[in-house]
Amino acid sequence: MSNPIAPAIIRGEVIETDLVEYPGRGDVMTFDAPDPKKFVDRLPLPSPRDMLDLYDLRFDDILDYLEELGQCLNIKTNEHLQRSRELTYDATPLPREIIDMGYEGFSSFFNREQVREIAELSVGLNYLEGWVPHKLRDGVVMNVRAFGSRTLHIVAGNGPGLGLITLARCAIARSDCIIKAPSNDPFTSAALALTMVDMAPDHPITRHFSVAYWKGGDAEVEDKLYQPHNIEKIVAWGGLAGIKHVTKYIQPGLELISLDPKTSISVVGPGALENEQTMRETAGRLAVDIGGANQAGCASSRVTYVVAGDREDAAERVTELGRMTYDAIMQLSPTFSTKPKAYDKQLKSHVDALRWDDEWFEVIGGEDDEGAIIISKLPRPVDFAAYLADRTANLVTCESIDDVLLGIDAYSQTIGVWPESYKSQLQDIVPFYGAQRLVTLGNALYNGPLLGKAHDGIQPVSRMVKWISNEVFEGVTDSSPLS
Amino acid sequence: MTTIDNLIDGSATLKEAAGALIADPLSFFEMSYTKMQSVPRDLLQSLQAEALRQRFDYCRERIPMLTKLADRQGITAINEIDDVLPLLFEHTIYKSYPDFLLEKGEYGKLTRWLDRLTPYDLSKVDCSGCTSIHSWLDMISRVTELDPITSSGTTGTMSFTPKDRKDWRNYILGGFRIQLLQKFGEAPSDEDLNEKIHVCWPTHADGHTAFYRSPMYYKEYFAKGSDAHFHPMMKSPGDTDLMYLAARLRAAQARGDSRVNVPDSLRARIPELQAEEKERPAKVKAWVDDLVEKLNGERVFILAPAQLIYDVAKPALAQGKKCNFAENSSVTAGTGGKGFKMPDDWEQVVDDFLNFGRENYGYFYSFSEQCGMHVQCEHGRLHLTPWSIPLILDAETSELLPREGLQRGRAAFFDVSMNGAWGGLITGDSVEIDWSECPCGRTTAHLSDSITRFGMEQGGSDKISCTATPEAHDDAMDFLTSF
Repeated sequence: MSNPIAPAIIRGEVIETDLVEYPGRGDVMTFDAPDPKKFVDRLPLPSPRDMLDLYDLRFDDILDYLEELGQCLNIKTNEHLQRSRELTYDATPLPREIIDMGYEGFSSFFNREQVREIAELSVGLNYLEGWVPHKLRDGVVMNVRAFGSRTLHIVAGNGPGLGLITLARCAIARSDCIIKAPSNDPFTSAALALTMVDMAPDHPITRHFSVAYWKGGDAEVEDKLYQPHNIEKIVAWGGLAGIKHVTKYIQPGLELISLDPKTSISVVGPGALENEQTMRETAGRLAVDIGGANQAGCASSRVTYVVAGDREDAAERVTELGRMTYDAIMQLSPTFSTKPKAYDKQLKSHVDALRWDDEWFEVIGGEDDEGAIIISKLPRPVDFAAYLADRTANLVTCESIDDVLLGIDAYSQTIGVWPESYKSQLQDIVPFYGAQRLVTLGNALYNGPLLGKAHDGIQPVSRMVKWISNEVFEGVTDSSPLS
Repeated sequence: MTTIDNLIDGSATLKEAAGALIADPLSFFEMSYTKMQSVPRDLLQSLQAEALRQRFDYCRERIPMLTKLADRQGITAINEIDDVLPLLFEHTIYKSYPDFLLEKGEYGKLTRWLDRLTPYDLSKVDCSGCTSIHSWLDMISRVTELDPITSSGTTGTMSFTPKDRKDWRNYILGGFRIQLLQKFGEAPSDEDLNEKIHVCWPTHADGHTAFYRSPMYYKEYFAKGSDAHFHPMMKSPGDTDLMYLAARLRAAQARGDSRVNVPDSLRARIPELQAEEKERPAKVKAWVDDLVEKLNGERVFILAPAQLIYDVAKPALAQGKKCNFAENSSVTAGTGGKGFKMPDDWEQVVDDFLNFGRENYGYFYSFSEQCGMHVQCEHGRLHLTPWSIPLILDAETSELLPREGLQRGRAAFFDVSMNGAWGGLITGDSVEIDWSECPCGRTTAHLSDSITRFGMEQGGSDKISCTATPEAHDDAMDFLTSF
């Protein structure tokens, strides 16, 4: 049987020829894609002037385009998506149900009001749509506008919707967009581009959107492409593995926007342990943040710090909370959380090693690879906390908030907190250690990867645009530095 | 004393032979590499099965962790090799204590934890005088038969494996001296067995990690205790707490965190780490002079992992210094094969400096938790030591792969020679085993030299995720702390 093809779509043109094989490794599948050497010269925008057609669009035109695209992205009718979903089932370690959930959300992703809200919160519509005047104290008028740039996006593959987010961000910012697809999802962004070509082949947004796969670090491609005359900003998801090929190309004129990899935690305050009812409520919320989307996202909770104070039965209460949480995870809807496709072997070995120690740990579940809750009876997470995945979480029995702060560092993203009132103890201190988003427990996955629109506090859209000022000195007599 | 010959000629029963193998595997094979590797396969398997039965009977009630595991599975006896599968320990079990205990210096509790992993009784060990990890391990090895080893991986957690002195002898004398110095097919010569051989050691002379502790045993079994034949780069012991501190610092740095969870007294020792780094070049220079001048033409034993030897070799070569060891020396150089990255020219540099001919290097596969040391034959195959029973597991299902033909999977071994710890261990290594006969004439099953680590590998596959996991490190300190 021949390998599936991940086509390249360059500015409205579909390329499926000159195929080369990309052999899969581990949980990555083998697939064919067009030889990048043959098309690399066509990827960048020939001239900066070619950005102008994006400026013939009004914001409402952009919303119209995206809204229509959303209607076309219905998994029930869109054959490109159906095909790519089928292939993605095999290409990713995620279970089918979670891929289905992602694909089913596509048609509502470009909701007009949501897109408008992203634009408003990330940059401000007035800055995107025109020059915004600021009158300075000396009378000078500084007009500021956010212009689109020529961007390249190295997207992650651990969720199917990341190409859509990239498109939304680029369309809002009127940026030229080249997506370098990941090997763990080489098909979904291509299906998105194919749908755009079918829908409006000559539309400026389609013409400013390209998707292709090449192996990250392929010097024959990247030496040519990653140059300031081709690209102004590279937006890279993922850790060192994703950006190590890129950093050597960074120079004045070519900026790196690194969407660093993150992990997320939960914090449960003493109030949650008061009685069976509060515990059950907490467990239900924890289950959603841990088990949702099979814990694949960076917002998914991995470690939960339970601040139990100095009560004697702290470890027992936390263990009880763990049992309730485990039960609640198992009862989540299968379209939202399901038994992992292949439970991480290394993780299993870590979890099983703790199973025989009930003095300091308690392992709940996990014998059927369905997910597990590990209770730490002492106030530190397990040493493999950074590898927790596949619906496996660690509940840590803590005495005070100091134990919690030790668990927050530069990799921390979302902190789900319960009871809500406990947030006040955290919100003004955790930012110094590295967290970027506090949320009421049970809502870590709200907004999916948009993450409170600020994306890990990195504000990618605001950084993707070029902030230009036009200072008007007309009528001002005494502002010259020479005067 | 019963030997393998008695079993082969029928003058000893399987039971007697297995008892003798367990008691002293080296005498059982009469210190002969050829005898170790010439037992007919079926007979070896019966012998191993009987030895396994005896080991289980002995350890069933003596190793509390095993008791628990066996109770839970309802296993009271082992009849054949496959029966041990549910009783294998994950390698992670040797670091399954809560890190908090180390952070707080709770050596009494740590001893209680270690006591559950060994048949020796540690309940009477008094830890009240221990003020550091190093002093704790010093004390354990002083007052008990154990001489445990530590290591720490990328997360900075230390493992503690309770090897005893006999295990060290089986490993160093049986694994290294017997197998690396003798020629297969020939009886051991008096020199092979008794000659004092110069031991060149590329780091500290003593300590508690596998790489720091083993030189003491090389000194005993290769140099026959002679100081004049022992050439460590550093005469002082490598400090275990400094290693722990270094691993912790690096793990914290990798997280973008300036906080390190170690006792204050240990944190105060950070300058010692830097001082050691500073002193290194002078020590390297003196050591190189020893190797090049003093040991010119001598028979030496040297383990030269590229991570430790590259920065020794590079400046030495620049000054025109090269080694010139006797032809019957034992020289091993490589990268340990576990995903470390080295400069492109490392092979050339290391080979030029050692000047021994790459084709003459000894190659082997071993891991510090056991006593097996699997040496490569002239056909490039790593032959298993006869006291290691291979149990190669399907990487996905963890089911035992058939004992025939070529199989690739997760390596597990039962080492019937182990005294300090339970012999059954599932490693994190992916290996390819060949059960068919090897043209070299050795009778044991053999592995290919492509051995990789499961999971937790970074980079290479072009898979990108927005979820953070610790990145792999690539330098000498990692090598030293992780072996």
